[in-house]
This record gives sequence, structure tokens and C-alpha cells, in this order.
Amino acid sequence: MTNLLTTNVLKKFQRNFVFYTSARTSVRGLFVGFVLGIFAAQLMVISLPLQVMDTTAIIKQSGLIEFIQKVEDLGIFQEIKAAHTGDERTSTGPDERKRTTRRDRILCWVATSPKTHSRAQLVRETWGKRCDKLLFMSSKRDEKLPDAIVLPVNDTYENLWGKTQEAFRYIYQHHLNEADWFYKADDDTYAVMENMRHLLLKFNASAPIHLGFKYKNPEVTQGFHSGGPGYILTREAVRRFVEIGLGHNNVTNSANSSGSSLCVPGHAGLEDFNIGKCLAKLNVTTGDSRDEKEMERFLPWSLEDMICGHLKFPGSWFLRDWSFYPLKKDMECCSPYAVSFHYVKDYQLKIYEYLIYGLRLHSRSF
Amino acid sequence: MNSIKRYIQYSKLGLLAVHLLAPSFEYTSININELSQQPTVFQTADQPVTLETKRDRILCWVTTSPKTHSRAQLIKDTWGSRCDKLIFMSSIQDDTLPDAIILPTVNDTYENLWGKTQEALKYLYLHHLDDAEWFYKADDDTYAVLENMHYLLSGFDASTALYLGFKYKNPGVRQGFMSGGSGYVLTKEAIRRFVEIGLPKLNSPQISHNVCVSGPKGLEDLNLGSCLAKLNVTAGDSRDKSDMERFLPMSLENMMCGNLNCPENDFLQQWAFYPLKMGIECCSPYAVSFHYVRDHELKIYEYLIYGLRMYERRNN
Repeated sequence: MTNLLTTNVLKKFQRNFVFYTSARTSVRGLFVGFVLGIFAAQLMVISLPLQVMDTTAIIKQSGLIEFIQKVEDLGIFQEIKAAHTGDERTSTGPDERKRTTRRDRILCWVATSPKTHSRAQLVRETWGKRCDKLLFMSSKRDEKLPDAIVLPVNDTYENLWGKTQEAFRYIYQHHLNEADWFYKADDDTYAVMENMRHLLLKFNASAPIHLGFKYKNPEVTQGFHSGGPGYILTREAVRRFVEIGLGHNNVTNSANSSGSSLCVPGHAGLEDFNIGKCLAKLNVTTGDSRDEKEMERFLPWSLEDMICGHLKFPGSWFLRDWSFYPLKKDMECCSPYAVSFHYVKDYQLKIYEYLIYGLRLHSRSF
Repeated sequence: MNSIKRYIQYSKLGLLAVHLLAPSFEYTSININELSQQPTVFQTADQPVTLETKRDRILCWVTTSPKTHSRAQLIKDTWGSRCDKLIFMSSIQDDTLPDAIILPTVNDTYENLWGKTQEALKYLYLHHLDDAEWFYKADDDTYAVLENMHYLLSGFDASTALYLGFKYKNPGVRQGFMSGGSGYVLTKEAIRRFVEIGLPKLNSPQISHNVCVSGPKGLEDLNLGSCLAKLNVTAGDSRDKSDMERFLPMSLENMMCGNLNCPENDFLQQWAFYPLKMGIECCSPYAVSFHYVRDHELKIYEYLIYGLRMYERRNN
């Protein structure tokens, strides 16, 4: 039965094929093409060892940029940025490669104040330009920061909680659909955006989660994230925070309000602790942002303290006593894929920019 | 006629098919081993290739003093381990630095740095002249990037009388002299001339004209520079292809000061041998040494330069 069917199909196919083409010349043509193609490719391969020294000639000849990438993969050419690029080629499997095609947008908002607007400008010139969108939240506009978003808060350290609330409310009203992730930073934070994008690939952008350096606290079982190196919220987390946590739809969470809201009312308080507590009540989960070797990616204290703190503070030390995960010492403190540094003030921002993105290492290829 | 056209069409198709398939198998047939037997290559993305067959050794000697021996240990933990040989010159040995080389009869003060330098070079001449081709002097608040130093030095001839560093100009030394702070590198021949010719005349009581400034006092970098100039040791140009400096004598913060008011920069601008850019253009991407990197900052630089890695998308 099936035999008859297949022969019928084949006959029909053959008839059509013969009708539309002259089988012999096309097959011969294909064959000749194949042979010529292979011949040409072999010629290129044979001449390769002599020409591999002059990559510009190869690019011109073959026009194949992918070839150069492959040769670089073989580790023959070794100019690397000080921050060694392209580690993904050694550690990606087929799944990761698929995932790197997704490119989430990150909105960065930097908490600043009139006294330190010059730092904001430095942030803009260094790492800030690598955000998909960059906003500065302050209490005043001036010549140093003409595009600052003015929030209705008393701009003091005590009122940072109020600033955070107003900032997220502003973002909710004006920018919620412009990004998938919302990163809060201080104006003495230095972020490595490439590593941040890579970190975020591991998480689901539509889930209610937030990431950062986790502190433990008896009132917040899942921990809260340090405000210094900054924390990242998904869009859903921002939505829940503003709509439900701050009671956006009903009553605003101002200092005089007596409406019901899940978050701590008023403007005063530790902003990172308060937002962490609030998000926990809203079922926004804290993710684990450490790398595969369990090294921290968000670094809340100065690099000096992160690396040498175990020597500087042998007794009790807030960072060690309250970090959610066990803190590692010396160079192990900090992931090679660190995402942000704190207490990087003023011109240090430019130094980090130079050491991370500018400096290159010439290493020998053996 | 039609069939010839068709013939050509199909052969083009065949050629295209092979080209599309080629990347997956053709280029992986390169013999990697063959390539690695080629002479070693320094290559940058936009520079022509230079071939280099041997590897010059660098001996690093670090001047330190008892008050700052802890920095010496930090240097050992960070960039010092990348030197072919690492020597610390101090005035005493203690628990923090048990292997310090003690230089004879020099009061360990800033004023006597010139005396210390003379003694150090004499020590190197007597004991280590064959241990390396290049001799790099650093302070204990210097951070050096040895890979970039090897690259810089591969462009010079180690058998000549030469020294490199951040060049200052000076009316007394026409070819300029190297800053002591960011460190300088001497060839074997330079040291030989200094110790064999420069020093004896310096210490001779009957000297009619000094080759080198005698006594332990004085600015060590200026005195060394003036002495080496008289001995016909060339002061080389260590800038990169874009004329950016590789040895950085001021703290990075000062050098990047840009438009802020940094008083130290006026001095630098005025006395640098080559025109100096300020701001982010000051400093070569292939910088070789940083100065005023103190104590724990050494570990910060180590982390930022060697520890931190970056994930980059291939197709931005």
C-alpha cells in the first residue's frame, strides 16, 4: 500500500521536476559550483599560516569578521581590557548563548542633592551613560545639574526614605514602561553596567523581585538590600511598591497622611531597610545576586574595607555581623563580575572609569 | 542558451552553499599547534604585529623604610610577584620585612635619598647585574603593571646605555631626567657606567670636576639624571603611540583633575619634558606605573586591574 503511494508521489514529483527544469544541466551546474567553492575555500586555508600575522589583510581579503572572532577565541591575540572581556566564550553553553540575545532595558536613577551635583555630573560622564535611561533625583535644579528631577522632599539624610518613595512614584508615573529593571544608586556609586546586564539575564524580568547586597534583619526574614551600591527592582516590584505599598491609588504616603499603607509612613527612616521591609510585605522576593563562586557582586563598603576590613575591624564590624550571606575576606570578598562599588567619590569615579575601561594589558601569547 | 544560463545559475548556487557551510568546518581545520610554534606575538587590535623571540627579565627594586615595611608585604602580594626578581632596600630588617637588603651607612631619611640610590645601584652592580636585563626602581607607594612594562621594553635594545621613566625637563640636564616617584628603568649598561665610572669619581677627593653630585644629599632623581647624562646614558621616550605618558608621577586623581583647581598640576605642566595632557587623556591605556598608591590602595588597584572582569555582548 505504502509502496504504491510513494511510487506515485515520486512519479508526480519527477514529472513536475522534469517539467520545470532540465535535470541534467542543473545538477551538473550545482556540482561544478560545489567543487569550485571547496577549491576556493581550500586555497584560503592553505595560505592562512602565512597571513595570520596580518589580520587587516585577511579582513580585507575575505571580509569575514567572524573568522577574526574565531581566531581571537583561540587565544592567539591577547590584547585585553584590564577588565578581561569576553569571558562568556569560555563559560557559555548553548542555552546561555540563546539568552544573551535578550536585552533588557535598565533605568538608573541616582539620588543626589544640590551639595553634590558635581558628582552627579561625573556619574553621567562615566558609568551613567551606559544605562538605557539615566535620571537624577534631587531637590533643586541648578547649572551643574539642569535636568535634575525635583522631588517634593526636604533634602536631608534623615529624609532619604521620603526621597526614595517620591522617586519611585515619579518613575511609576512617567517611566514605568521605558525599562524592565529599575536600578537605584547614590552619587558616590560606580556601576559596571555590562556585568549588571549579565547578572539580570539569570532572573525573570516580569517577576516581582529585587536584587542587591543583602543584609539580614530580624524584622525582614528574606533580608533587605543596601542602598549604597544600589538595588534593582523589576517593573512589577515598582508597581506593587507604588500602587499598594505607598497606596498610590488611594491616599499618598505623606507625613500628614493617616491612610492605610503597607510601608512605613512619613519621610524619615533608613530608606534601604524601609523599602526592603515593605517589599517583603508585598511578596517581592529578594534574589541572590552572588556569582557562581558565591562572591558578592554588589559591594556596599569602600573597596578598601571590602578587601581589608577583616584586618581593619577585627572585633565587631557591621558589615560582617549583618551581611545575609557569610562574608569572605581579602580578594575573595568581591566577585570578578562585580556590578557596583560604593563610596567612590568625586574624581575617584574617573579613576575607576580609567582603571576598568581605559587601562589595557599587553600579555604575551605563548 | 537557456541551459548555459541555468548551468551558471546553479554553479553560483553551489558556490554560495559552500561558502555558507564553510565557516562551520573550513576554519576549524587550522592547525593550532603549527601556529603556536610561530615566534611569540604582541598584538593589539589596531596595531601592526611586532615579533619578539626572547623575553627580557626585569628586576624590581623597591625603596622602603622601617615605618612603611607593611607596604612592602602588600607589594609582594600584588604587583611585586610579577617581577622576575624583587628586592626591597631598607635600613633595617624586622619581622614585617625579614628579607630587606640593608644598605650600608646611610641615614634613612628623605634628604639622604641620593645616598641611598647610590648604595642601591652599587649593591645591584655587585650582586645582581646578571639576574636581569632591565632594572626597575620603585617606591613603596608605587603600583606597576608588569605586562605593559614588558611590552614597552620590548621596543628598546637592552644592551644599550638607556633609561626610561617620566621625563622632567631641567636647565642643567638637556636630555631631561626621570621622576623618581613613578619609578625608572635602567639597562645593565647604564648601571655599569654609573657604578664603574660615575661613582668613583664622585667619591674621589682629588676630583677637579664632578661627574656626579657627591655626598648623600640632594634630589635623587635629578642627581641621577644629571649623572647619567654625563655618562652618555640616553634618556628614552617612554610614551605610547598616541604620545600619552606611561609612567605616571602624580596620583591618578591629580592627573585626571581636568578642570578642577589642582595646584600640583601646574608644576607638572610646567616641568614635564613632553607636552602633557590633563584629564582622561593624561594617561596611556598601556600605563606602566602609578604613584601615590598607598597601603590598602595597592589591593584596590590589584582588584580593579587584574581581578575585575567584564561580560561584553559580542554584537552590540
